[in-house]
Amino acid sequence: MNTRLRHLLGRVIIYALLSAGAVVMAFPFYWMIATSVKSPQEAQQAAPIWFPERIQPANWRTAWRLGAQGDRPWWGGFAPGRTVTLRLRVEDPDAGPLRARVPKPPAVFSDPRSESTRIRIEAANGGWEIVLENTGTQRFTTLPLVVWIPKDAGKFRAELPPDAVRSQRGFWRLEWVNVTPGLFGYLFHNYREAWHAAPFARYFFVSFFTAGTQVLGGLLIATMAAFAFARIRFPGREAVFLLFVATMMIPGEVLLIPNYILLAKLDWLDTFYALIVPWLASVFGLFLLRQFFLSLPQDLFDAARIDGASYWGMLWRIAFPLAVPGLVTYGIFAFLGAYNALLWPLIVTQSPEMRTIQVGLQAFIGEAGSDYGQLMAASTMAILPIVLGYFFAQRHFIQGIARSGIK
Amino acid sequence: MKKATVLLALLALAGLASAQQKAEDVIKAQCEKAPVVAELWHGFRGGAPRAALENLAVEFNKMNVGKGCVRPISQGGYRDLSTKIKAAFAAGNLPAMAQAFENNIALYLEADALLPLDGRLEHLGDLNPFFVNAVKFNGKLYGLPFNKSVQVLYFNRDLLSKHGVDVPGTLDGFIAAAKKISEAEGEPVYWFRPDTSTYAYWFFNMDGTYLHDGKVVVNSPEGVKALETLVQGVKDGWAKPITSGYINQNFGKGVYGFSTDSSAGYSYYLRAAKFDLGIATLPGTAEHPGYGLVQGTNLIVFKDVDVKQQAVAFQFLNFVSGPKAQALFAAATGYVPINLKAVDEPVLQDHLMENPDFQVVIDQANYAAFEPAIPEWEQIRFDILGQAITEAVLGKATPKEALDKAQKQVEDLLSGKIR
Repeated sequence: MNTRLRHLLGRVIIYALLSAGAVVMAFPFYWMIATSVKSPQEAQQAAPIWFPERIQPANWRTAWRLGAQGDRPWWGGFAPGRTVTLRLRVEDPDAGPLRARVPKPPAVFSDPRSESTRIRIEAANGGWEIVLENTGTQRFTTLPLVVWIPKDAGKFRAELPPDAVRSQRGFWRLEWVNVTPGLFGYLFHNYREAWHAAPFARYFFVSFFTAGTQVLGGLLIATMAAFAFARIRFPGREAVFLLFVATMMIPGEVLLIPNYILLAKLDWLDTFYALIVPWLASVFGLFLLRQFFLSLPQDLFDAARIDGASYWGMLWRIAFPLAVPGLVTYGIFAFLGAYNALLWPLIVTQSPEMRTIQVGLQAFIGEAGSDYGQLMAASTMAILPIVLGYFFAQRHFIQGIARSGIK
Repeated sequence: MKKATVLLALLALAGLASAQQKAEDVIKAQCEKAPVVAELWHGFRGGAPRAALENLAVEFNKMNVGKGCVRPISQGGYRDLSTKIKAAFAAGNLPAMAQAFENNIALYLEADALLPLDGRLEHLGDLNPFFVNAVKFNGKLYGLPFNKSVQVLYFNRDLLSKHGVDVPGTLDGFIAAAKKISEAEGEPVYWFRPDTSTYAYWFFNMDGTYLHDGKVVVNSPEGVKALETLVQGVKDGWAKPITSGYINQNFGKGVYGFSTDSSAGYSYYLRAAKFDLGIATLPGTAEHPGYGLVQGTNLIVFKDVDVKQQAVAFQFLNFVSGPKAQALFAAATGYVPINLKAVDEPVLQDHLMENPDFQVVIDQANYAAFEPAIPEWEQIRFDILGQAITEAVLGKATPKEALDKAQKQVEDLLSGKIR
């Protein structure tokens, strides 16, 4: 009995500790995903907001209705001829009328959206109705709105919670990024905006192609070189190897400008060559695999030699299959390194077609502040393939990282 | 269950795929047909400034169909941009135009890489003379002031009315107001980032100058006094150093009253503030507002570039410095309109009706102060002086010690002893 109780207690403690650890590890992910559905004002608050307005089902119904009125219930929009009604309750409707306006995007010479939207404000029981009509011939994906409520009107409640509320002299200024969102358009507003802010589909392709090619090419080169250094005797082998390893001590930033000049001379700038070729030969991979090959028993190679195998045969038929764990380790590091690289792709590329996902994320960082909602939405999209990859190759990931002995 | 998930995912993708045409794509299409393409490398990562610049380029290209086209290319942040320009200079593939700080211009001029703009700018007479002066080197004009921001006083209007305090107009009045509200609230209400920009406000308005007979001096008596004021403010409980993130990211943690910060952050301040956020010209003297540090870049034209591209570049400079383009750019981004006639444009008038506070930015631009335009300034500003200010504010050294040490480092840097 006593031992069973002790056993149980031990279990409880272990599970409690592990759960606590899991919560701590999962927290940044939760924060990223929660922030990705926050409005700009929510995302910028210093006091943490755990449940943003957009994940509260009570608001989804309104979002659905407004979306359906504007165009489509799932993704919203504002089609020609449609009329959308947003209701606003205030404590004291006699305090004076509201003002409402559709804001214009930055620095455009003309803005069809605000110009073709007719706004009427009507008194309704206990508040106001803002009626927006699309009098133009164009469909708009989103319809932003700014409303001023006199502070004397007391407490107010909008059917769809505003994305920002600010005090402005005698008024409360309410802002919506989109009053015709539809359910998904409401929940995934930041994702949609982020996706359109930059050509992310192309960025994904460039990132995956670059990282994938680097891994395959890098593995081939590193395997052959490592085998030579580990198993073939030739004069000056140790010296050459030392020279290679010594290059690991040169920080990448120092090589930036010389490498750029070399690529410019080869006329490789803004091409996949520039993104891939300089990273194909990895000293880290060479070192890792050489140590791996050295740990294989010499007897194997002696036996192979007796059976008449060439170096080539020994490499591909004996060393290579036995070194798979090492190859996976190097592959994971090379892939993550390439996928996460920022400065190099930024420097050697120009056109949006050649830029990577990490460069794309920069679009949400401003000079004096950042758009955290969209940044986190884009980060979620960028991290998703890696997380999925992790689920499929979990075993290799854990072994690979444990084996290399570094994080 | 699985089917439902797949269906949801498909719906989500369908929604994402129905894209609007982006300015970047429009420019790409415009430039494919153009006989001459002039690139403009810039350091806007995203947000309103980048959108505004791209929209301006679209308009310019529309007007120049068949003649030439300008293609803005984002190169990351400003530091990434200057790294890339250095590399491109060495490799010989410079763009026609780029953004550059005054100290960047000084550096590029050492390599004789820039084209003087004298006599080629239509609107020169209408441009803010302070900004124009800052880009003159040896009597020649090497940049078109473009996205310029200026320090202003941000304040919490609700808090000031609660305590019956008027917006301060003088330096002493500012300190007194901050002290009064801080005492009543029981915590410091002047928030500042312990960096070279905040320090510059106090330094310039205590009659400090960095250049003494062409020599950089960071430990002048005025400098020590300015830093001592900040340090004393922290000790006396009216000034609070913000060491993590931008000031506007800390709203909601404690009582915010004032900050002296760049007008470039206005939209982010507005977005984060739930209280009535006001801006005013900086507290100075009884006669005039305080001097505010000007930041932001200029557009430059490179020398070793095809003449046809340079011609398009000059057309573009004339386009973006015109009153209408400047009015649009200022209204969209909150940068100071560099063309003084921009305020008469309907676009900016409308913007001022909506945002009366923006007039403050325009007024403050008449009291502009600049940091020295020497190639090493970036390093001094961040790694030497900025470090000294942080150390003093956090109490790791006295202001005098910190600045004396910084002076030594500046001298070593300028004499080439350290890099």
